[in-house]
Amino acid sequence: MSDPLPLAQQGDQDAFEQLYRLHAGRVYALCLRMAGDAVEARRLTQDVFVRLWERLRLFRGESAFSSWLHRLAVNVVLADRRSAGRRLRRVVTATDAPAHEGAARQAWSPEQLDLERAIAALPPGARAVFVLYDIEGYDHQEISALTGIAVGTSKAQLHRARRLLREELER
Amino acid sequence: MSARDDQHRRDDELLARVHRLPREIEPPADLWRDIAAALSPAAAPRAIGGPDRAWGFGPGFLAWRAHPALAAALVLAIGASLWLHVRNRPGWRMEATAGAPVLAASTIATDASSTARLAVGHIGDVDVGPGSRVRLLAAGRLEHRLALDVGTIRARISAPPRLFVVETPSATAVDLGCQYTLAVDPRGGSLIHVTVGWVELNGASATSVVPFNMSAYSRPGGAPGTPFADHADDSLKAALYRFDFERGGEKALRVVLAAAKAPDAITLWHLLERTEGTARTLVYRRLAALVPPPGGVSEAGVLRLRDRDLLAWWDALPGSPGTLPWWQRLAVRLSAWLGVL
Repeated sequence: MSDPLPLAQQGDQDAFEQLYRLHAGRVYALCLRMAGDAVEARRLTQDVFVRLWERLRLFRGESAFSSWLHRLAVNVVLADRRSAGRRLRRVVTATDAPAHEGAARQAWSPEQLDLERAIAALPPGARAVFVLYDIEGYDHQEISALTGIAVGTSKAQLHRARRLLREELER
Repeated sequence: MSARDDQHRRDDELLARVHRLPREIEPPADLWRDIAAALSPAAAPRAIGGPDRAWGFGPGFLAWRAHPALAAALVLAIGASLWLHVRNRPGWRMEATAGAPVLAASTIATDASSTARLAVGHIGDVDVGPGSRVRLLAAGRLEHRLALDVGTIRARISAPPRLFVVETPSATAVDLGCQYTLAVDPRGGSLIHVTVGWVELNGASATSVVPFNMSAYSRPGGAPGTPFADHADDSLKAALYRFDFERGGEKALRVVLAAAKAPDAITLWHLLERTEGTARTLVYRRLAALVPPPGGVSEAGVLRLRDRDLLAWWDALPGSPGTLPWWQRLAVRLSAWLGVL
């Protein structure tokens, strides 16, 4: 299969769908873990790909496309977290679905599912730092730049998240 | 084994489990359908959503839908909305209202003595003031989008929310059914003043929701400023600017809090998520003194920015849609839809 990126950059929607099929799983995983619920993750994933469609022509190939898209997704999710508009929209979303309902077709071990649920139950600030640091591999400086929190706060949130997770999983 | 060693071991075990998590999670099978519909103006129009909470149609809405007259009004409103949506033919149309504005390559430029009026499909119009540069970015059934690089526009939009978007160098204004004036200075900073309805202002790192009779500044590269009321004390406005854009910190925040009155509650509500630690506690206490949190809203929940608590409080703030009587909410909504304001 040829690379759909150049065609998608020219506005070809079929090529853009191919890009979506290639990358949606990674983006959805990020959104689901950062948001902690499936309804929000669905909306965020949609926002990411709509934003991608708008900005695709700005991608110049200076980094891997997957890295560029991942950074775009992180920015969309973090901007949404701070958004007062999100709070207003949330009241009209449907009843929150179970966090991993959309992933029912995927094979999950009970251990993985327990961990995902424990992550989803973390307080939002601690969850964001944990996902970015321990799952997505950002360092504290990068998290500070992305989220606007101090490096020390990021470290404290990570410590707190790990402690809460350990307590939950060892219960 | 020391306590520290034990903690390291348990952290390692946790991280080992984390690293076994899948990198990808299969999204809902029908998600692409929604994305494709949002991308393509030619695709089937998106269903008109339910009444927008921003206009106050919350859970209380269910309580009065049994009234036949209100039900009829609602049917009328939905019908009008659908009609507006269907008749929303994409496109722009410019006319000079003074002097000789220049239209070239989808860019409108006015000099010191010229102005223009831009028809936005059939959903409203935009007055372009002197010394402005406006670029027309997109015109579709689902969105009309333009960029204001410098100068002033006044927008009057009568349509369901989110159909009209204006980009500036510092923030993006998303119309939620309203009238507003937006000015951009040569350095990219902006000031929005909303006269009817609401505008969502999205910046690089946050969002402000600016209701009618309020304004907000924005500066490139940062979060949009905190909204402030037209009649707020001048000392509040000045200190808020220092807090938002000049690293005014807690000193500026204390001036804002001291000058705040009940009509400034929406300003303080926005500050809850722009502060941390003791500063957030100060904001909480001042807001609670001006507008006590409704039952069920806990201090701990607000300080943790728990959505449920923040939203419940938001609905109780003076000037928020939740505090308007139903007939006023309906009138505003209908007016926005029908364009009679």
